[in-house]
Amino acid sequence: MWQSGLVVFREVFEAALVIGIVLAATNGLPHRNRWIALGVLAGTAGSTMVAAFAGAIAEAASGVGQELFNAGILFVAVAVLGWSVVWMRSHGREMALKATEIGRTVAEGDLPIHMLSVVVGLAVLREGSEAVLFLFGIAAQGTNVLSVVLGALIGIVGGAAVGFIMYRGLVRIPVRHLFGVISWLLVLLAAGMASQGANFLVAANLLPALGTSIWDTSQFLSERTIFGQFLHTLIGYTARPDGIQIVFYVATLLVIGIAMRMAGRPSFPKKAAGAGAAAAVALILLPHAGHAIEFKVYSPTVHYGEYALESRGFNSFDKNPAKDGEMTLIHEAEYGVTDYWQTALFGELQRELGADLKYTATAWENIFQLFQPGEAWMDSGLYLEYEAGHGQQPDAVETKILLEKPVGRFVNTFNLIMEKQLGNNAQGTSLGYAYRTMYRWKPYFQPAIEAFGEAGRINDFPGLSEQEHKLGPVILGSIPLAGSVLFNYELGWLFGLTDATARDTIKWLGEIEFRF
Amino acid sequence: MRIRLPKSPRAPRMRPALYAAPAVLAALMGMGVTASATAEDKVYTLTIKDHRFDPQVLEVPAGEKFKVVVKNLDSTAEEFDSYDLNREKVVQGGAEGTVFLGPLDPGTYEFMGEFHADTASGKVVAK
Repeated sequence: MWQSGLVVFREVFEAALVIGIVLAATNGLPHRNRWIALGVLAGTAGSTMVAAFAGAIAEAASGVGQELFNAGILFVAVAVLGWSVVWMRSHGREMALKATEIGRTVAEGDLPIHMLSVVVGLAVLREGSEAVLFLFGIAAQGTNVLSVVLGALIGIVGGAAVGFIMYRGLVRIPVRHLFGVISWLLVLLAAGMASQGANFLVAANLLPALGTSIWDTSQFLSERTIFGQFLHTLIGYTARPDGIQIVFYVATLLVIGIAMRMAGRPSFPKKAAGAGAAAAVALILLPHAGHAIEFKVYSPTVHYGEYALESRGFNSFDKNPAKDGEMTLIHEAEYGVTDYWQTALFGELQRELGADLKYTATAWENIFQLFQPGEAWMDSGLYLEYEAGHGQQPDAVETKILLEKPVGRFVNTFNLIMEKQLGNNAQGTSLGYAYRTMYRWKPYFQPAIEAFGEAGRINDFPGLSEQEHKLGPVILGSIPLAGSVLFNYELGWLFGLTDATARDTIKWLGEIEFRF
Repeated sequence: MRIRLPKSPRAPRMRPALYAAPAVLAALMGMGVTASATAEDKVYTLTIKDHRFDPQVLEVPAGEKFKVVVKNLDSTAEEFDSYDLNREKVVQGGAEGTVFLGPLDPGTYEFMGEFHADTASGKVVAK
């Protein structure tokens, strides 16, 4: 009950804050109440739909195995919980400022009044969806439904009450401190959920236990006592944990804790980062501003034991000389180290705006395949890259979530790309994507459609016309040469979709793949 | 009360949605664990001996997920390679590996041992 109460309280409180701020900033504006109320209703309706949708998924997946399902829900809740805590740390103040600004801009007549509904509706939808997800996660831990619902109700009342009190200015609690305490409680909650998820996976024989009953405090503080229950739900206390549960608990604390610290700092120290922690932060934080958009779609499948030498590039053409003649060239050496890990080193050269072709970066890239192909509903992998910039080019950490789903002879692949620039000349963090649908007709000839885009810097998303998006046909193939050597190729013509994108881009790739 | 829209709106409408994207993808990945192959899937065994597959024809029901455990009884590694099934799996000598397959449309799917392609070949027939 404490868990659901705390979680719902936080979500309702956040939503109440946004509503309160918008109300305050638009004080005196005629009809603002009905627009804001409309936003609240729409957001609530949307959250209910998310709940129904999640419920339907729960129904559909319930036949698959209770332990796997529970573990899945728990880990998703941990990820979203961790991300939202980190986001809150870095953007809490900003969110309040932005809400004020929107309110003021509407009051001054520079924005249509229905923007109020949009802002409020989205805030409520976001908070509501998070609450739904976390409640599912809590339910997956086996707490009884009645106590979850009771906790949720208390949370709603509590969150609305505190929000109202603060709006009225009756009590001035520094919001930052309140959020700080709540954030740390939520981190402990997330760690507890992760440990519980690990427990389910051990039960489903998917994880090694790494030793059972690493400690046994059931004599001093059994989970059957009220206080033991309280500790279990609040901080994830277990009387007899498996070794792997402790690993998951500590790892979750570390990852989210480090991310929260880094998110709180104004600058991102170059050396202290380290690719691993930085990648984790980038993954959690999100969007960032990139320098050159990639034109290769990555599959999460790793080729164990295979070496490859690859060159790829793209050339852009446009009537506008500012976008014409852009060229990127990459030379890469790859090796599949294990069934699940592929590593590569590459060098990048670029030419922009009529200048010479310059060597711009050296990078180390890793692909981690998370499941065996076909093992999960969607083949998934993680891409982590550290790029050392040459000359003026800043260093960057690039993270991609790789997803692939074959449907018959069609293979659909999606990469979500996040890049964070580091150190001097850093332009921040940006978000992009790569997508492909390919028809596996013959090994040497596979037609596909690919799309690439870059949404821009997370703190300052430009309008759609200023973002770069491309789409076009590509052919891919694998031609066997002598022995077991393969020549893999890609060739495509991408059309620019927005004003900021070059009109035509030709992409090409050639790779020699072999094993010793 | 609309006078003009700002030229480069901060577009708050985009940010919350885009912030959701990794969460959605993490959710998809998480769901992947749940809606995946389970202990109830049929398991077929494919043995590699003397650089040949046994059985050479594997009959499976169409439309069902299943697993194939490839046991390599030879001393050298072999790669279960099938373009039709979209799988490549290296199995070391003396070891075994699992390949997750299906659901398959009815038809014939050929596979081969990439390291000894002259002798190692077979097909999966889905009915």
